[in-house]
Amino acid sequence: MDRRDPFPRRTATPDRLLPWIAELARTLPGLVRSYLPGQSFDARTRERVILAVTEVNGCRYCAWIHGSWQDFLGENSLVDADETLLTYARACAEAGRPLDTAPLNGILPPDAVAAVRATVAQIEVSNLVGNTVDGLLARLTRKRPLDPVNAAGEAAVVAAAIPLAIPMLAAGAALRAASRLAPPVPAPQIPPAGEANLLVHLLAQLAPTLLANSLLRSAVIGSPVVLVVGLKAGRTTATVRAGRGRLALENGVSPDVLVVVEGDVEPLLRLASGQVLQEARNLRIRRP
Amino acid sequence: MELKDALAAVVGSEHVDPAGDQHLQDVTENPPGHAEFVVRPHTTDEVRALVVLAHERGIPVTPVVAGYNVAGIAIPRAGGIVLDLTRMNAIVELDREAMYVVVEPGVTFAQLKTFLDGEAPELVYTYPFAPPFTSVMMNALLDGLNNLSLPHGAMGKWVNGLEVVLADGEVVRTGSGGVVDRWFARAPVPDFSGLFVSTQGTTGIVTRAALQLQPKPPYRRRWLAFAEDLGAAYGVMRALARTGSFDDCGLMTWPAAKQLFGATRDLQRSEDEPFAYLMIDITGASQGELDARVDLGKRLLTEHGIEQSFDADEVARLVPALVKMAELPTTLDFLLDYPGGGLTWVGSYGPGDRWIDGARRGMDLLVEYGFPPFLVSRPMDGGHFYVLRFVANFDKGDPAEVERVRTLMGKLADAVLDHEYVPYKASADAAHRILERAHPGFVRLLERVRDAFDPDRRMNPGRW
Repeated sequence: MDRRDPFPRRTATPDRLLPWIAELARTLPGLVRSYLPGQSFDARTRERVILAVTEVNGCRYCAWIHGSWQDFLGENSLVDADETLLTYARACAEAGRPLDTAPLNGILPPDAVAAVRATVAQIEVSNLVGNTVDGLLARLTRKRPLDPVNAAGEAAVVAAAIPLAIPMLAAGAALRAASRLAPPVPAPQIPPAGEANLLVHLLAQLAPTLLANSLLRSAVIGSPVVLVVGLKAGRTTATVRAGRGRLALENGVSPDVLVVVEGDVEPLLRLASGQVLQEARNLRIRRP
Repeated sequence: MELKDALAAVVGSEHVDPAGDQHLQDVTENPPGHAEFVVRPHTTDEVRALVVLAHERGIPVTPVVAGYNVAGIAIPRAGGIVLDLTRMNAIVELDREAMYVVVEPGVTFAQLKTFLDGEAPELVYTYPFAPPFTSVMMNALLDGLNNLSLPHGAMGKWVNGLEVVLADGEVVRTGSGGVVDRWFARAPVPDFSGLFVSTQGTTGIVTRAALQLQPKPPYRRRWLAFAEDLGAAYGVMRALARTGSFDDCGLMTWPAAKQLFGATRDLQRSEDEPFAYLMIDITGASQGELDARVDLGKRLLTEHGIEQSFDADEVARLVPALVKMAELPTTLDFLLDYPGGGLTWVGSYGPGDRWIDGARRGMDLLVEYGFPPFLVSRPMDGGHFYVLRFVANFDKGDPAEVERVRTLMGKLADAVLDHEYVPYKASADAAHRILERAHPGFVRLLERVRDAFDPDRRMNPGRW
C-alpha cells in the first residue's frame, strides 16, 4: 500500500519551520528595514523576491496577497541584480533552508543582503503556514488521510496564524481594490516632438514608471482638480498638468504652477525608482 | 562564355543576380549607379577567380557589404560587377594572447560582439554609432570612429594586417601575418596595410583583416552630461582626452536628442535646453580605479561649467528612447527611418584648435540650407585630433531637397577643409575637393600607387 502523503506541498512542521525562524531572529532588523521607505532593497524588489519563493512553495494565499501588493506598486525596471536575487531566493526555497549569501555579497550592500535574507525567511514561514491551511482542508475533505495527530498539529499552526493572516488578507483585498480602481496612465499630451524640450520628452517616457503606484496614480491622475507643477532640472524647465484623467506636459514653467520642484536631472529621474524619500533630499521645492 | 555564365561557374548560379536597386543606390544624396551583375563569393579563392575574370574582360569591380558607409562609396559608377561580400562572414581566428581577431568582410558588429562575449569575455572590440548589421572590416578599412577611438584612434589604426586580392588576382598579405603565422602587429616589417586603408577598394579587395582587441575592464560607468555651448563642449572634451583616463567622450548637439525622441521636421531648441550632449565612458580594472576616474571626471566637468550629468545606463532602463544610446552598435532607426529615407553627412578629422570655429561654420551652413545644426564629435587618439561630423536627414523623394543637400555637402566639405579638417570616408565629391587642395606630392603619390595597383582604374571606379 502506498503510504505517501498525497498532499504535494510542504507544510509547517517543526523541522521545516525552525531553520527559517532562526534566520528571522538573526535578521529581524533587516526585515523591518525592508518595509521602510528609502531603503536600498526597495518594495518592488522585495515583492518580486517574495513571489519567487512563493512560486516554488505553491502557497496560493501568499501568491494572492503579494500579487496584489505587486500590482499595487506597479512595474519598475530600475533595479539592479534582479536575476541574482531571484535565483538566490528560489534556491533557498527549493533547499528548504537558508543558503550562503555569497552570490549576493558582491552586488548588494550588507544591509540589502540582510533584508533579502529576512524577506526570504519571512515568506518561507508564511508559505509553510499557508500550505498548512490547505493541508488541513485536504484532511477535512478526505483528500488526504485524516491522521488525527498531525491534523491537530496543523490546526494549532493555523489557529496561531489567524491573527496575522486575517489582516494580511484584508490588506491584500484593499491593495487589489486600489489597483483596480486606480485610473490608467494616460498617454501624455506634449507639444510637437520637434518643439518639446528634453525634460518634457524624458517625463513623457517616464510617466508610466513614475505613476506605476496605484495610490499615487489615483491621487494624481484621478484628482478632481488639475494639479499644475513646475519642474526645473539643471537649466531645463517643464510644467506638468495632471488630473481629471489627463496628463499634459509643456515646455517652461507656466505662471499658474503651484510649486516648482528643482534639482539635477538624476534625482528627478530616480524618483521613478520609487525611492521618493531618498531622492527628495536632493530636490528643492519652492513657490513660483 | 557569357559573363553571367562565367560568374556562375565561379560562385554558382544562385549567387549571381542582375544588379538591382539594393546595390545601385544607398541612403545618401549620391545618384544611383549602374552595374550588370551582383556576385556573392564565399571564399578568397572565389574572390580571386572573379577578380581574374574581371581583369581578363576589363570589367569594373565594386565591393560592398552592408552599403551603409553614408558616402555613396559602394555605388557602382562604371558598370561591371558588384562584389557583394556578405557571404564571407567567418571569424577566422581569435588570438586571446596577442589580442586580435581575424575576420572576413561580411562579419558584422553584432556577430563579433556575440562571438567575443561567448569566446573571449575578457576582451572587447570597439563599436560604432552604426547599425549592428554593418561590417566590422569595412568600418576599419574606411578609418571610421568607434567608442574606443578616444584612447586608441581611428579604426585604420586597429588593423594588424590584411589579406588582399589585387586587381590582377594576386593574393597578398600585410603585417606580421605576412611573415609568420600570427597577426600580432603591423610592425616591424614595411607597413603595407596603409595601402588598403581609406583607399576605398581602389587598390584591392580585402578578404581578411586582423583587428586588434582590447582588454575589457570589469568596472564601467557611462554618463550623459549636458554642455551649454561650443566652448564648454570643446573644453571638457579636451580636458577628458588629455588625462588618458577615459574611454569615450562622444558629443551630439541638441537635434540628435529631438530625433531620438521621434521628432523629424521643424526642430526647435527651447531657450533653456542644453546645446550638446556628451556620452562619457569610464572604466576601471578595479573599483578603486573606476572611482578615481569618476572623481576626476566630475572635477573636470565642474571646471568646465558642466553641472548636469547622470548615469546613462540607469536612465536608459527607464527611458526607452535612450536605450539606443546606451549600448553600441545601435539600431539608429531615428536616423535611418527618417521620412523620405535620406541620410548623409560630412565627417572629418582635424586639430582641436580649429574645432570651435569649424563646428560653428558647419552648423551655420546646415541652418542656412534649412537643416537643424546636427553635429557629432569626439576627441580621437588621446586628443591628437577631433571629429567634426555634420549630419542631415532629408527626403530622397524630393528632387529639390536632394539637390539642396548635395550643394550643402559640398560646402560642408569645403568648410571643414578651410578649418584644416580632412573628410574621412570621403564621398567622390569630397575626395575631389580634398585632392584639389592636397599637396602635389600627395596627389602624385596617390596616382603612382593606383598606377601600380590598378592601372586600368577598374577597382571601385569613381573614387579618389
